[in-house]
Amino acid sequence: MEISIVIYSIIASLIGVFIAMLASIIPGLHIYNVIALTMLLAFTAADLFSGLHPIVLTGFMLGMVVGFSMLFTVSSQYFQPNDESFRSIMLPHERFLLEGRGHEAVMLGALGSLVAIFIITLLFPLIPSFFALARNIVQPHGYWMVALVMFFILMTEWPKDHGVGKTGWQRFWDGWVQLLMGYFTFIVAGILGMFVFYRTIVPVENAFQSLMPLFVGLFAIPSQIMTFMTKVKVPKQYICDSVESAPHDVMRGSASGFLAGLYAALVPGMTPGPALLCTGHLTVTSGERQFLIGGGVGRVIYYVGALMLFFMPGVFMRRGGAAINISLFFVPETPEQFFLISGIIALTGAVSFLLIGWFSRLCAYLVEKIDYNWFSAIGCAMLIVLTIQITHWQGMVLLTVATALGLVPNMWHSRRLNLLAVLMVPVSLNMSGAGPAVARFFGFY
Amino acid sequence: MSDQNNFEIDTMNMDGAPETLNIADKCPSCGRPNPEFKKRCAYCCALTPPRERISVRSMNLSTIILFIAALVYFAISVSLSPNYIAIGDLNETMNFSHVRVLAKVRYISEFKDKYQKRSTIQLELEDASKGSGDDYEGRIKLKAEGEVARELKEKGLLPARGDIIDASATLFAGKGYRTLSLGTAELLKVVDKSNENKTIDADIKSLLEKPDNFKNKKIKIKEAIVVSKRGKLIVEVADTAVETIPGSKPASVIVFGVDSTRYKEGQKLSINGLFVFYERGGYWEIKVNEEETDAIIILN
Repeated sequence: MEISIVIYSIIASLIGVFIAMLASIIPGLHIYNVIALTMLLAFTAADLFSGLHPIVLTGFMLGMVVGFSMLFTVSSQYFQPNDESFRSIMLPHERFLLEGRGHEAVMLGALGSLVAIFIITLLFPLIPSFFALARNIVQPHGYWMVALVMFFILMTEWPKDHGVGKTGWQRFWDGWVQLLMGYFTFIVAGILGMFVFYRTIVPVENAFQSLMPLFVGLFAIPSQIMTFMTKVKVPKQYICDSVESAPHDVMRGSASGFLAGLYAALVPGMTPGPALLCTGHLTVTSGERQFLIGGGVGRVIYYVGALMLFFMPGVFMRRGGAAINISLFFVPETPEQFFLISGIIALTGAVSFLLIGWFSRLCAYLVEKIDYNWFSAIGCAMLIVLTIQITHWQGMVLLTVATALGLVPNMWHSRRLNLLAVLMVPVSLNMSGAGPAVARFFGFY
Repeated sequence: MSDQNNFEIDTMNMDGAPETLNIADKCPSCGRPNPEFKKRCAYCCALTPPRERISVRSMNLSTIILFIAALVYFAISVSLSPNYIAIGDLNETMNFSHVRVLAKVRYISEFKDKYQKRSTIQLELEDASKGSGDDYEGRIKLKAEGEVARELKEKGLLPARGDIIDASATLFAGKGYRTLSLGTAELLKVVDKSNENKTIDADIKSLLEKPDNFKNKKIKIKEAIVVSKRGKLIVEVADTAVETIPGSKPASVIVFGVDSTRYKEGQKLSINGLFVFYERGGYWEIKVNEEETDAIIILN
């Protein structure tokens, strides 16, 4: 490969990391939203981008994905606190924040991300035949693997605030309402997913972003609304020089995160969240530290590892939004491209990790000085503008419906994980061949 | 270790000797005071001894390994020699695979769809090192369609006949057909420019006397006369200056690729084209591309 292309790709990837860092400051903004915007700009300013070699543009996108997958949780860590009324569904990083240990939570997640980058860059290139084999094994069985995870999610929903009613019936209702709302969310999200898969109302020229308004509506906007509702004073955060973590925490957290990321990367329709729920049980993870490390590993393996499989000779697996977007303008072909991509991942992974500490300090400083609601308001506005820009008013309709559904778990304290039925149900049904029949039943097909 | 109140056991090493835990007077996790040097913070319950913790500095230092790995990967990607596949080895078992070939361009042609909108550029390639001779197995067609064809022309990436090119493309192969399809214009690179594109002045007599001297070269006949028309695409031309015995046929050559309805017998033409041997017909011909402005000029 020409050295000039390598140098341009490195520069582009570092610019990508920088943009990812800027985008990461807005909580709720997802890298795929930023990539979608980049793609929209690329199509609009085709002449400008056509001057770039496709692999240079790929390097840029890769830098964004690596940077974002490592940095985007930092702002959520600081700017989306939960108060005590949400204690039953509060995640470890939220508890750490209220103890003034937000930076430690960030660094534990970052430790997981670092482990994942080590695995991706040092292990993945050595075992391409494993991935080819794994893909061939998983491909015909994907539908029931996703279905099993769905059942596991439904089975593990549990009543959280039961027993507070005065009468027996009230307590009975308290016990069941969360379960019922969890199942309700799951079913409605599944139907919504089927609708979008079979009869999307997003204009055809932007139909490749059909899922965007759903994800923004189901997850990002309700999180921002929840933040507005939260009345909590974020304590001063302590910038620690070390994190509490024993070797077995790193090993066990990494094992569960690695398996979760790999599961999500290989099985269509899976994301790290539900996968981590399963693999956490499998590897008997316990404690908040293992959860945070596992989350970091799983997230990066899913976003970056899956993207690496797209470039791996003999595998060329197109999984995840980033790979789908990149495949619109670049077809990976040769081993030297794969090694360039591996190098870019190692470089941007290292740079992103070194940035995390500083970025966390910046966010800790900002949350002290500025009301976190401002960040949520800006994030909310940006997401709505992006959705309208990319998917027009039709996307906005989807976003409104999805937001209403996305608020159900917040209101009734059921798990947000149920909302992922929006992806898992249609993917599982389609892979099993039952998708069209079910869509026809609902009048979508 | 698990009992946070059992300070005495915690401060012994395996030999029973006292051990220093280096516990700071404030919690390393939440920063609150720890005046009694407890192993667990009274506020956040974090373990305080340094040995129970991983320092951020050591994590930062470990990124050196990633920087080194990145350098190694970049070096490999620059130094890795491309895995070229011989054209003769491309077969249907490799259908849909991405292949890279180092090839010589034999011909270039361009045609449009029936609506005259979408153009396709087609290159006939042969192995750069050994050539194909008369062996059809050693040749393959590379197609660039639509946007890719437009980009090739607009960016000046289109090779000339005889150029050595490096092309990465998708193979479509089945029973009786093999084609390469170019995904993006940048995946076709001219490695070595050929001087075969120089046009050689010739007349029909010299062409037919020593055809091997002109084989597969671009020639220009300054003046020739149309002696007959054959079908829609072929005219037969002869030298204008040659005296012929009445009743005998003058030495002539076929010109292929013309719209014969545009020419009349006895018309004088200037012809620019490729001199090739048509193997199936067993005769020499001049292939012209009428889209080139100087391909055929009518002189009278």
